[in-house]
Amino acid sequence: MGLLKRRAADPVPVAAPRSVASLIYTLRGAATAAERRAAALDLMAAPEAAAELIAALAEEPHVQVQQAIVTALISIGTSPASAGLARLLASGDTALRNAAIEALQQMGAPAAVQMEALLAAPDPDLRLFALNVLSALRYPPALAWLRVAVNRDENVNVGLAAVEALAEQGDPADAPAFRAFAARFPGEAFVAFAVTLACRRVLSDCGR
Amino acid sequence: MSDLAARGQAAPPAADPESFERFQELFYRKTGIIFGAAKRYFVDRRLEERIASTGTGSLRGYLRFLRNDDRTGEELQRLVNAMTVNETYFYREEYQFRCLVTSILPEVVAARKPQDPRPIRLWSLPCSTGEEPYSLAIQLLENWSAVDLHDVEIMASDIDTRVLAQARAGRFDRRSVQYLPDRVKRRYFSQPEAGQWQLIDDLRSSVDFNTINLNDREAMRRHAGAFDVIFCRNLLIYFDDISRRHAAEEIYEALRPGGFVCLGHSESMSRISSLFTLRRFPDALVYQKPNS
Amino acid sequence: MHVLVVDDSTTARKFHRQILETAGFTVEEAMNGLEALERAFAAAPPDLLVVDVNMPRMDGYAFLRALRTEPALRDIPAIMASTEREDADAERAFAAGANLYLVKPVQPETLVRFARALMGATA
Repeated sequence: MGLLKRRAADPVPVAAPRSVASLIYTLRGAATAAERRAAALDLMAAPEAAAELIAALAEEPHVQVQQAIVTALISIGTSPASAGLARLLASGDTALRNAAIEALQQMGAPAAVQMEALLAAPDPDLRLFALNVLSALRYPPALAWLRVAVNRDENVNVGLAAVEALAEQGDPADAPAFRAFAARFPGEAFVAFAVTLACRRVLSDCGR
Repeated sequence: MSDLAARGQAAPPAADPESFERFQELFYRKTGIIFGAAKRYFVDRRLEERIASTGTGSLRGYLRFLRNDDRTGEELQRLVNAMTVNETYFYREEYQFRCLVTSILPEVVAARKPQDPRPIRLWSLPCSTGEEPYSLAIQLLENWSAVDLHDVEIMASDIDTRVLAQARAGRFDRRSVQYLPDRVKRRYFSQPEAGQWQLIDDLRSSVDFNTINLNDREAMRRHAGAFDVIFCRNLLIYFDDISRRHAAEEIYEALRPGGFVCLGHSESMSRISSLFTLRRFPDALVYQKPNS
Repeated sequence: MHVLVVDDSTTARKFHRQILETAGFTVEEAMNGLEALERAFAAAPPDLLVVDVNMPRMDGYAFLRALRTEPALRDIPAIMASTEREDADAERAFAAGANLYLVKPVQPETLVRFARALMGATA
């Protein structure tokens, strides 16, 4: 009883590495949640498994397995992985959707590229999610898309998200656009507040 | 050589309020840490160091650098490093050790099947020069009433082989042992020379030291489901977002169902992962792997 | 009276803070549900919560559900603030444990009125 002496060797036998096909089989099959998690994590280094991981994610009921799949997709980080996650932004499952947003926020340019199409979606929620993703990414071409959203989006919450994102990445020349946005939604105290903050932020960035 | 260094020790311009607010937002977003007014002096000094080191000339310039030029996230990590206190010593963040013996271990024990042959396994990483795993061992012996009823294994890992060698040797200076009660120092250490404390052999041999890297899937796979409690304090805060997330997955894998993980006192899973359940015990907030 | 404002938007947190501080509340912030739980547990629990829906790590619904299972926190009144304006969304918020529901962007007078009403109800 009590504190054991240091062990000389690791008694756990080392399993042979599994093939991608075998791992996918486990992931999509009737294995336990723990086995599906381990399979998903083992697929982190397998970009060719992106499509299967996306398909598995869309059907996976267990939240901890969802998380492992998302981690694998972020590690893979390719365009197909981003595209698959972008499609999940339309999911009605809040947790799944937020997991997809979180993942995309960490996937850099491949993720940003996917957002352009979503910014033109008829559903304002999708446009909002796209902006949530873009706000966390540094992708210079996205600045133009943010400016379009500030100038033209008819949904106030979408516009506000664009203002907030552009305030972080924009420049003093964006201040007039912010004020024009405020003029489109007179009487909204939050809009006035957000625009004041946004102007202050981009204007403080001038010089040096 | 940065412009600033070339010009000599020119005093940096005072941080403008908007830039300081921006820094606070960034730091809060990344780490969950908010600096109170009392810490302002400390923060200002550290920011000056980072500004000088990067040659960015002002807080505004430094923040712009972080936004646009810090591709690898290396400077952000240095910033976090600069802003957090990194020293290690015995009984650091003692409230978690209290929580371990008062709340966590009783739950671990209660959840075990009576005939479970496996020892209770604790893991300390990064273990650095050994103060944390040895603190665990001492705390169990001193403060856990059930210590004689259970087998306990303590594993300790660090990727730095120099600190690991120091940890194995078990020799510490005054700064490391300063918060240990005299009784504890007398019981578990000898003093080979003034200002040096040598841990007794029984305790040195009770910790299994190795170089397992949390982000190494191959190495971690072998420890799936092995641990009841993992202490991963003041490590993840220095990782980038992706590594942090992956590390959380590996910690989850390494825990038994129902196992616990303790982070550093200014760290939070809210910036890392949603895998764990928050548990609030009288002495500490800890995170738990769900039971199934 | 102490309010915990939970929202992943910095601007929204600042706005709600300004409104509530002007109305005499003290305000603390969290940027997702998990941080909110941690802050709610930390020192004295807040008297009121203002909670966004879509946040990383732990969304507003999950936060409220977790809150309502904790003896120390389950009775804290909560206003949920969301961009969704359908009845079904409000119902969903109430089912998760919200007491009142606000559509974003929030009107300052409404937020204050709701906050005071909930504080009055528990005074």
